[in-house]
Amino acid sequence: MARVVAFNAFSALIGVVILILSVFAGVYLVKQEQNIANRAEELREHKVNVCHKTGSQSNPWVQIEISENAMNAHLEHGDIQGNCPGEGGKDDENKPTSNPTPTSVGIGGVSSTTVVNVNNQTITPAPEIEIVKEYVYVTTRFDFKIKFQGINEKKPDKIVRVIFRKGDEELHVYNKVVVTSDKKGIYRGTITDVRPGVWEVLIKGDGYLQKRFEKVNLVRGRNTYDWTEEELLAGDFDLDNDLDAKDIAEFMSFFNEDLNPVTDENKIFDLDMNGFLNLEEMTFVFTNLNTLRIVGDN
Amino acid sequence: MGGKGFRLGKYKLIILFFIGVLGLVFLGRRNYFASLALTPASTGDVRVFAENSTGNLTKVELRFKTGPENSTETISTIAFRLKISSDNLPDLKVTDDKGNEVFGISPSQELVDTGNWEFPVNRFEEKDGNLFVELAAVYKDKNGYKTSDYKTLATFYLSGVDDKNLLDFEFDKEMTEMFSKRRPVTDIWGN
Repeated sequence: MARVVAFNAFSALIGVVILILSVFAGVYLVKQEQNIANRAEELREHKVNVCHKTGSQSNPWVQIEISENAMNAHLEHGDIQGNCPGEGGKDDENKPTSNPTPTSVGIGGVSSTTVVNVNNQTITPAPEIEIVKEYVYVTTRFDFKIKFQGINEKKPDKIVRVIFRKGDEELHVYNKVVVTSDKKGIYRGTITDVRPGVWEVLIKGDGYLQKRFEKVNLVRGRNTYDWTEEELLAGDFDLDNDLDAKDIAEFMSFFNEDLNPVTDENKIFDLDMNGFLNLEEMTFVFTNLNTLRIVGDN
Repeated sequence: MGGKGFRLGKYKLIILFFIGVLGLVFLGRRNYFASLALTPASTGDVRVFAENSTGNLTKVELRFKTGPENSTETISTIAFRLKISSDNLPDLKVTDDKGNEVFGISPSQELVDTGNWEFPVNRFEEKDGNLFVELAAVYKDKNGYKTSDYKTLATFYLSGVDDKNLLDFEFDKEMTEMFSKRRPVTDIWGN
């Protein structure tokens, strides 16, 4: 009898141990799966456009999207970074890409037939270069200047999203364009692989409403646009492209001390980029809020 | 002595497994309830009071509180959009207490005198056969504001009202909000 009791207790203990190990194994497997999914997402995002040289007489160039890691190999092969030129060397203003990939980017105005390219590569301002005529530019260089409400002197770099839109036909999204300020607080940015044509351009920075600029005509070579007369309006702190009471409440939730230093969590509210949150920064926001909801351009 | 009793032995592992699953479920629920406890509750309220006033005017007063006495929430921002419907809308005018037409409603003098309130939005408009009144109020002090008693938020007068009982007041639920001071920033208006 004692032997039976001892055996029952032992088997119960084994059962508990198996159960605990099963739980840990399950958690580990879930975590591994999530890591794989995250890595796949990361690899998927780091894609760049290249115009691939096929070597074919009838179809010498084709537009493809490749991993950033494979860029050097493709360039050595003779491929061109960016979008393909038109046939016979003409500007391909209305030519869609060879491999259209319509996707939703949560921007609005995108139909199921819209050609969409998304570039998540960080684009830093290109250095000034002298144009040498023996080089043939197959892409465009787009230089732009913008101004953020409340910034009137040299401040740190910002990252903006730039969208080029052509009705419902095409959408090119550049999510990480670095813009650099001069001593007057005017920010400059450059994008170098935009297809020539007439575009609607939308620019958005964190904490600011999106701004639309129409009839932007890009030609092969260098294009410069100065949009500093129309400031990007401050106040979109919850990143839903509108300014309302919620945005103000979000700011006030971080305003808890006489001195509120900026952290990673609240830096979006530091409109004047002085390292601290203060009520003076809300002056612009209050001025912008002339009705209960101000919606940015879309 | 020789009866067949329930033999637990061979079912032990199954029972232990289900106990483990139930334990994980209850653990998850406990975390869920804990997170609910951290989120501000919907204790705020904004109400409309209308009464006849001198000079054939109707006085409309908006009052608010941020919670009952035992669970008053601290807020930073209030915004409301009030729709006023009336059969007599074409003759309805927003005025001051003397019947003079105005371009905005009057925030409470008690709040204004604290020096801590900002009113970035203060307007009204006629649209779709109704009168809409909008106000946004921000408490700028770092400590936020709370009250368990109804306080006057704003007042305005209406002229051209034959009978105040023919006025219908309705808050736009999407645009009427009262936000907590603490995070997560939550709309605590209980309606």
